Order: sequence, then structure tokens, then C-alpha cells
Amino acid sequence: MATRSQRINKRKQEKALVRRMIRGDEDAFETFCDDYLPALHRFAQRRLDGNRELTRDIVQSTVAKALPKLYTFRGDAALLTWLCACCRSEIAGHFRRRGNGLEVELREDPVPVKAGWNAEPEIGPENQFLRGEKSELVHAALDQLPAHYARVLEWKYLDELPVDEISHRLEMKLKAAESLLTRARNSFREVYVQLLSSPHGVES
Amino acid sequence: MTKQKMSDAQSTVPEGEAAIRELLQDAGRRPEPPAQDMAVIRAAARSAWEELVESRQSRWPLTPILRGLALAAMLVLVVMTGWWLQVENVPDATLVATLELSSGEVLIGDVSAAAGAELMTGTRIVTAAGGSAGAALRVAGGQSLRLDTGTTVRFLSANTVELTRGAIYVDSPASVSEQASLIIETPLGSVMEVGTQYEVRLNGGETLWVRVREGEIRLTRDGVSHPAVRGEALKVERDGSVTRAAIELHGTDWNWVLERAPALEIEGRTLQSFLDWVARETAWEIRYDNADIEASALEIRLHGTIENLQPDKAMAMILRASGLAYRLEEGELLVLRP
Repeated sequence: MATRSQRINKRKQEKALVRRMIRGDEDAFETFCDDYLPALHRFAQRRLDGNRELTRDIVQSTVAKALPKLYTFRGDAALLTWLCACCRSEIAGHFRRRGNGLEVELREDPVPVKAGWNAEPEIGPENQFLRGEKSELVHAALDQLPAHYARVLEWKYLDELPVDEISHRLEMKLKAAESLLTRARNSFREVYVQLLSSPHGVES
Repeated sequence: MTKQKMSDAQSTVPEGEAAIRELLQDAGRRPEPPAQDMAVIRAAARSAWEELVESRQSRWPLTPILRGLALAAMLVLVVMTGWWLQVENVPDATLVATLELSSGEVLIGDVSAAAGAELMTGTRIVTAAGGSAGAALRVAGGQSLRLDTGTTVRFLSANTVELTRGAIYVDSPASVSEQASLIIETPLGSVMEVGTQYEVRLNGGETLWVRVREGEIRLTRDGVSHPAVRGEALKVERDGSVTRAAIELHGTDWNWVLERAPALEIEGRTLQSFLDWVARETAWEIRYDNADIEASALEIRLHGTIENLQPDKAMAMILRASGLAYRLEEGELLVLRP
């Protein structure tokens, strides 16, 4: 299982990324866009029944409002969790403005996105949380991992790359790549189980 | 977690590499967001990030002395608020304005106010000193009235506003009739608009500044009228002396006005219509790099919302999302292809 120190390390890395962004570091901004925006998009899309235009508008609006307040991110929860909370608020605001959400049905939170929302209101009957699609759960778990963990898992199990090819891509030794894969698997297992078993979100 | 759920969860725990492989392969790849949409989102993220960086870099460190002063200011506010918060409803009170936007602590009479609240003649509106407190009102005559932090005003009638503290900005569109022209009464003189945009600021009751951004105003003091036009400011001292100065039409001195600009509903508007609004709010002159871009601005239709975005920030975001770029130099916004 992923250790507490690994989780703390991830938080430290995210806080460091945020600090660099606040200082105006272009590389940090690019890393943020690459690692977090697609996951945020998937999060919104799941909640908006795949409505493409609405998803784009909501995510656009979320980043426009959340990023200027990035300095308030304290690292208590994962950065993606923080962004998802902002996005959820944006979605709720959208449907409030619309009045009743006639155009797009706002469905219940799928299981994966429950993780880590301390302010999450009551979502529904307990049995709904087990209803989520397994693939959504897997994708959400991958989104919550450090980006390089998710990447090596996809290379290994979806692209079926041999470990030596992965080590070559990452410019690291074979042993180090094997070790990275082991850590990635452990983290994935932990996040997956956590998402599966927590109705109100025990954020790692 | 219940025992049953714990059991359910454990039964699906992917033990071992083979289980994880199967789980990932069954789920397939994570769906990639459409590249076009991500470009739009990325552009929005960049604008917002640049705003973050700019705002954090321009912050002043709060020294212990400043912190002490801020605390003192808050205490003064508490005392003064008790003094000022007296609603003076007149018997024939009529609706004179609607609160379009509020930030921080805004009181109408002695009640915390939110967007949509209505103001009657005789009612005071107060924005708290310090922080981001401010408000935007839509006057019945059609003018937009912005209140800076630490401001107290009262509508004496439908077109007479008494300013006793702080600063207000008036944006009076050309469509406002002469009969509906606003008069701003202050202890140091009164200001009348002639289809214009201007700021009236009382500095501690000692001086009155009127800065004219568009059109013309007339300041009256002791029966003498002092006109001022776009790009001019009048300074009135307590002893009645009036001096004139040239001012910048844009820049950081006007930021508080932008921060309190009610958002434009952009849904279905053309890019050109949006840019016209930006130009009015910022006093920038809009210029297109070529006729082709100008024609595009008439054809591009906007969708979505710019709620909570200042006009200048919204402009940056929308131009990027429209596949255009801009250059801002000396009050001129040049719209061009990237």
C-alpha cells in the first residue's frame, strides 16, 4: 500500500507546484495544464452527462475563477480535489441560474468524484455510491494519482510496453522503473479502494 | 463504513498485478477531452494565471505599523457605522435604484444587502472601509453608479445623490435624458453630469476631486459653475478654491471602477459588441489590425458567461478563445491575429 510518507510527498509536490505558479513560473503552469485540466474536464463531463459544450464552458469558468485564488490552496486536500470542489460549485451555480436545469439533467455524483470533499452535502442513499461504472472509477483513480504514476500504468497495461522500454522513456534504470511501477500499482490500489469504499470521501 | 460495505469493497480490491492489469484493460483509456475545447480552457487558465501572478506580485507587505492602522480603521468603522446607519425614509419614498453587484460588506440602511436589493429615496447605502467592499447600482434614470470601498451615499431624490464619504463613479450613457441627469451633492460642492463618465471623491472631507473620463460635467460651488471635460480633474479645497489638472483616462487609478463593473451578458453577442463594452469600461480605444479581423469581430458570436470577471480580464480570455491576440499600448487596444 502507498505509505503515509508518499501521500505527504505528493502534497508537498503539489504545494511546491502552486508556489511556483504563483511566482509566475511558466513551466509550472504548463505542468498544471497538462496534469490537471484533462482530469478536471473528465470530472465535469461525468457530472454533465457528457454535454460537450456545457462541460467546456463550466471548466473554462472554473479555471477562470479558481486560478486567481490559487494562493488560498493550503494543501489540506489534493489539488485536483480542490479544483473539483470549485467546479462543483460552478456547476451548481449554473443550474441555479438556469432555474431548474431543464436543458441538462444534473445527475448524482458518480462514485469517484466523491473523494475528498469535506464540504460535500448529503448525496443520496448509500447504495447509490456503489452504482458507478467501474471504468469511471478506474479513470477517476488514475486521475487522482501523480501524473507520472498514471502514465506508467497506462504504458504498462494499456500500451503493454515492456519495462525496459518504460525505463528508456523515463530515462531511468530498469530497477528504478520497476520500483516506480510497484509504487504506482500500490497507489492506484489504495486510491481505487478508497473511492470504492467511501461514501463521503476520505481523501488520501 | 458498514460491515456490508466493507465486505463489498474488499471483495473488489485488486490484489496482485494481474488484477490491476485486468481492471485497467477492462476500463480502457481515459477519455481525452476534445483538443479544441482544451485549447479554449487552456486560454482561460492562462488569463486567470496571469491575473494571479500580477495580483500577487503587486501586493504590498503589511508591516506591523500598517496592520495597526488597519485595526484602528476597523475600530473607527465600527463606531462610525453605528452613527451613520440611520435609515431616513421619507414619506413619499420611491424606487430610485437597484443594487446590481456587491462585494464585501454593503449595507442598505442597517441591513446587509445583496444584488437585486432595491433602494428608495432617503435610504443610505454604505460600503465598509477596507477589503474589497464595493457596490454597483443601476439608477432608475439608466446610469451605472459604482461605490468604492468606504463610501456612504444617500438618494435625496430620483436624480440627486448625496455623497458624504468615499468615492463614486458615474457612467451615464448617451441615452440618459437631460431630465434624468444626476446631481452629486457633497459638502464641498455639487457636480452635474452632461452625458458622461466621471468619479467624485471626497478625501476625508478636506478636498473634493472630480475626474472626468468621458463627456462633460459642471461643478457648482458657492454659486459659481466650473465645467470640466474628458481628461480633466477639478480639485476643490475646503476654503472654496478650485484648481484644474490633466488626468490619465486609464491605468491603475481606475481599477476600483473595473472591479465593480456589473458583468455583461455575453450570450449571443458579437465580439464587436463585447469589445465596445470593454472600451467604455476601460476607456481604451479599440483598433483592429486589418479589415478582415474587424469583419470577423462582427461575425463571432459569444456564448457562456463572464460573471465575476473584470472587463479587462474577460477581454483577454475572450480574445484568446476567439483565436485572436491583442496588444495594449497607451490606451489603445490593438486586436490582431496571433
